[in-house]
This record gives sequence, structure tokens and C-alpha cells, in this order.
Amino acid sequence: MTKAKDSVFLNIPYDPQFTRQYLAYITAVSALSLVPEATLGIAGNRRLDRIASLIERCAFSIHDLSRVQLDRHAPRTPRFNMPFELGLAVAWAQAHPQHKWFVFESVRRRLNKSLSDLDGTDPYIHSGTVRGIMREVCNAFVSSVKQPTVPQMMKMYRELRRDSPRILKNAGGHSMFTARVFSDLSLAAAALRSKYLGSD
Amino acid sequence: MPRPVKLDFKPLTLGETAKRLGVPPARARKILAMVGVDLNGRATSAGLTRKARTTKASSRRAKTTAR
Repeated sequence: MTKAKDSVFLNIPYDPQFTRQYLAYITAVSALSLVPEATLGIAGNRRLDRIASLIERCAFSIHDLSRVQLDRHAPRTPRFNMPFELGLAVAWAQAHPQHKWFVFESVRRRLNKSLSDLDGTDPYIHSGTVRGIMREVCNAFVSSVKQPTVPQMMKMYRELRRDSPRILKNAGGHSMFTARVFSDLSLAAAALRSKYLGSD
Repeated sequence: MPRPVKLDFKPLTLGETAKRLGVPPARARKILAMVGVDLNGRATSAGLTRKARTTKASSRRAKTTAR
């Protein structure tokens, strides 16, 4: 399998309440010239194999564990996909230390309670804000080419957010959380990096 | 807080990024045109106009606030 040194697996909630943060993650990793990858569009009984191969081909993975509450629909349950996929990434990284994984949370010290197996791991606390995500992604990675500033990333984010209804309309869909819209948003974010940070 | 991981690779061009993301060339061109850059990452005239329009609007807002 070809391992992409610039690919990052985004293990984040995919739901309308998380739209701003979803766009923030796409913008932040694109500003660092990373290429985001997601499990969107992966369905069926081969889903687990495809998630595993996605983790294997990405050099990095970001796991946002801020969505720990019960959902609104009966039967009310928490989402286990994100911690499960974090477990897959941790297991992969044990055998392949070149894979780096990062845990993001919105509330300080909550991880010690929700997932005490990770005691000793410092999560990146973004407080649920777009700016917080930008700041924490910059704390996790430093670019050897051109390190973006948080205000530059915020400009990119605002423009991506403004363009997102058009991207959605062109995709003929109603949800931002589809494989096609994710790819288009990621390409638009990479283009915004060129626009605001210059070509590399 | 752990030390940040240093990213040490040559960034992809926009064309390569589109290919990696599985965006077909025609759709990629449309997206880049919307943002206002070409495949080489250079601002196109549409992008420059949009940027100028944004700057003009923000200076107009600043003037209104000053008054």
C-alpha cells in the first residue's frame, strides 16, 4: 500500500450540528498542505476493511472526541464510531510508529473521564470553536514550507463557508457530509491556501 | 503539550490535489474558478476582482463606522 506522507484521516462527527467545525478542520489541514481523508461514502459490510485501509495509507489521523453526548433519536445512544476508529489508529501506530495520531476535544479534562485508557495523552482542546480548531491544528503540526497564521486560516475558512452553498448546489445534494461534497470542499480549501498563502 | 510534528514533504500542486481527491478535471476547474485561482495556484482576474470587491466593501464599512 502506498503511504501518503501528506494525508490526514479526519475522524470527526459528520452531522449538521458540526458543520462549522467540519469546515474548520478541512480548512486547517489544507492550510498546512495536508490532504484530508474521511470515511464519508464508505458503506456496506466492507466498511470496516475500508476504514482500516484508510488509516493505513494516511500518515496522520485526527480524532475529535468532543461528541460524547447521547443523540436525540430513540434509542438514545452515544456515537462509538470515533473512539472505535481511534482504537484502530492506535493499534496501527503501535506496529507502525510512523503513523501519528492526535486526539482533539472541546472540554478540558473530559477525556480522562470518557476514555481513561488514554491517560498520559494530551488532547488538543479546541473549545468547540472554529478559531480553537485552527489554533490546535497549528499546535499539532508545523510546516517546513510555510506555516499559516490563525488569521490567514480564518480568512480561508470564511471564504470556504461563503462558497459552500454553491459547492453543495453544484453537487445536487442537501448534505455537506457526502464523499463528493467533502472532496470539492477539500479542493476549494487547497485553492484558498494558494490564494492566501501563495503557491508553494 | 507534545512538540508539534514537523511536516516534511513537498506540497502537491492543485492539479495533483484534485487527482488525489478524485475530483475530475472539469469539476476541478469549476471549483478553482469559483475560488479565483488557476491550476498553478495563481489568482485569476475573477479572483482578483472578488478580492478587490471584498476590500472595497470592507473599506466602505470602515468609513461608515468612522462617520
